[in-house]
Amino acid sequence: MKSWWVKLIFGGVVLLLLLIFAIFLAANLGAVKIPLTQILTEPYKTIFFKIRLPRIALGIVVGAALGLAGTVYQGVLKTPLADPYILGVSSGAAAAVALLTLLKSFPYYALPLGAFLGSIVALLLVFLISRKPEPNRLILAGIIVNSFLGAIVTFVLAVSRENMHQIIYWLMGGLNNKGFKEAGVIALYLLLGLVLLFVFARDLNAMSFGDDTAVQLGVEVNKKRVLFLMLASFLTAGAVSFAGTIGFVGLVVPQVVELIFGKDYRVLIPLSSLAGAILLVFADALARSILAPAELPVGVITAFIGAPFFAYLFIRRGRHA
Amino acid sequence: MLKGINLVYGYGNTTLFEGINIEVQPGKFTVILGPNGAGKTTLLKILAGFLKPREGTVEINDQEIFKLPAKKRARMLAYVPQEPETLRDYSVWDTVMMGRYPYQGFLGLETKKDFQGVKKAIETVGLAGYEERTLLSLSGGERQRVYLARALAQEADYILLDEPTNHLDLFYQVKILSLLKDLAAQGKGILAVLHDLNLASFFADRLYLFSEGDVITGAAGEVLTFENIYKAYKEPALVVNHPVLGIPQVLPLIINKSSGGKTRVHIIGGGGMASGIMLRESQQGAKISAGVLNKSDSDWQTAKALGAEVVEEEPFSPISQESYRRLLEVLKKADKIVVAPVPIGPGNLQNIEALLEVEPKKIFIVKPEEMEKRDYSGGRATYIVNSLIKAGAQKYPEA
Repeated sequence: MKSWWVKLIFGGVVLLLLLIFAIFLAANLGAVKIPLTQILTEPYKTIFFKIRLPRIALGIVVGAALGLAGTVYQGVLKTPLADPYILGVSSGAAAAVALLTLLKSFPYYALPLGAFLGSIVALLLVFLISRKPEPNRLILAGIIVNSFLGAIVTFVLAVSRENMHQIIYWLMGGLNNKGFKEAGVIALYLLLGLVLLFVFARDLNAMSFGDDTAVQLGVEVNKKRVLFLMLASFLTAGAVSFAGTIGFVGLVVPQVVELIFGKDYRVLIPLSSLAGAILLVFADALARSILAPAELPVGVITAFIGAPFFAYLFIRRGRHA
Repeated sequence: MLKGINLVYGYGNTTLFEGINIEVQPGKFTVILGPNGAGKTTLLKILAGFLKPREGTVEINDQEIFKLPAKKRARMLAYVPQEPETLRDYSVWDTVMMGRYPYQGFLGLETKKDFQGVKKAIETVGLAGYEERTLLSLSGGERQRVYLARALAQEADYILLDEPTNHLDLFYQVKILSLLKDLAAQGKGILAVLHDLNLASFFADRLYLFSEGDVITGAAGEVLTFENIYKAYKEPALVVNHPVLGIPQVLPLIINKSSGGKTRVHIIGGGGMASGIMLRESQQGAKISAGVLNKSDSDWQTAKALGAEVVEEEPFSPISQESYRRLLEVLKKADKIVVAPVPIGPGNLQNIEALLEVEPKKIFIVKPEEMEKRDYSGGRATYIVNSLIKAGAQKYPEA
């Protein structure tokens, strides 16, 4: 009997090794190649510790948060087609952040909090519009909410001419110009979310058999569903508030992890955060090096990977229905 | 004991059922039957403790089920819902292990007891060796056994199942129901919603038949009667005894009720010998009458189902003078009279004697040459039949 924790430890070790590899690769790639032997000599030392490493740290926590959020959305809504970006949760957070930038001065910590509120409002709207939590309806509701929230963001852009460029770049999703401070805040979000979700992972397992089965096993389904959705939105908000709307990490990661490590959420929840981190660190390394010395927003890379994957899932699902 | 007391439930203004009482005893296999949409699943969910009735309550071992903490309830009662449409492809082992949820603490680390419980449950349902198989690689019947194993891993006294034999072939249904019967014999209280009346008749210790917002209850022989089935399903069905097992079996009568043409055909039968003839004549467009028949006789059921005019007597009663007089009236109106190959004795001899009062040419007798073999009236019936044939009665062509 392969126990879930055997899979978890095995998968954890494998993914950690991959993450370390990704970190080394990302540290090395970019406008300036850093030879590993001279990492402690200037100017490489400054580039590595002041520019590359904070960026990698941010990539790790943002990717982890998005991968984890995607796993939870897909688990609770029982469809592989859900992710924070598609559901409009990211847009909700983004719109809230955009509105906050209109206020000339707001406290630093208000940013993720505002983003959280925005994401919850977006999610509520999606549920209100879809009426029934069926995959197709949720996706269409997500499109509706996305377009409305997109309009809010565009409006904010038009009004605030001076930092337009900054907002646009943030919206496209990027890990640049941020530091350990931002990564630290998201890391706190991530830690809280990860611990709680891991503790309740068995409830998600039970719920995947349908509400009746979960209820009869003693799971308080309605309470747990709200809790899971809140936590996933909380994670999304944390990621969006500093790194913008990076799409499709939450879509691709859960599917791939599930394919390799099975269906148990006690395994999937920790591993999908690791896999999310790996994906985003890799994607950011690519974003920095493809057009070097120019940079692409990392959201462009994830969309290049994620949108075809979304199409694949959609087609496959259509065939099975 | 699991008891539903005076349960009332409905949606909006419509009442699904009003004042149902139901008992599930440990060691007994109890079955709920009824037409689609009668509220069987709803009743099951109420009894399982996660749907509150409008009125009434549910008690499990003398405690009100709605007041129990969810996990405690799950240790006392397991519910196996109908299979969800989308399945996550868990392994058999992981699926059954979920049954241990109500026993596990904060982090859900599995104990030795959990492992043993799961192993035993999988063995009980006969799936040892299937632990690593995943759900979608199994047949529908095997998956149903996995869900049953999960319920067993809950180690609950009561197991409630919603159509556990849905989508299964006949013999797999028998397999699942035998398993449930065994579990009941081991002391579990089993309650299942079933659709197949005949399997229910065979396996159930006690039946509850949904009928017009109420339930009819008792052993199979008491519940599965023509009247009860007609009341519940609004469809006629023949209730016969299983030729080998002697339990009641329900045969649906597929009848073209719009027939009922001009020719009147009276059929003399009894004991089911005339049912086929009645169906045949009715389908050929005749307006049927029958009698004299004892109530609940299978020919009586068929005649009733066909909407025939029936001259009837109480069960096991001889033909009274009143019935005889009515029989003569019906016979005179008839354009054609068919005599089924029924044994004739003192109890029904008058059915034959009455034939002497009508025009012999409209009488058709099934196998008149064999009359002697089924004559228990001391030769009187044979004599009458022979003289009717001489007077112009004909042999009824066999189908």
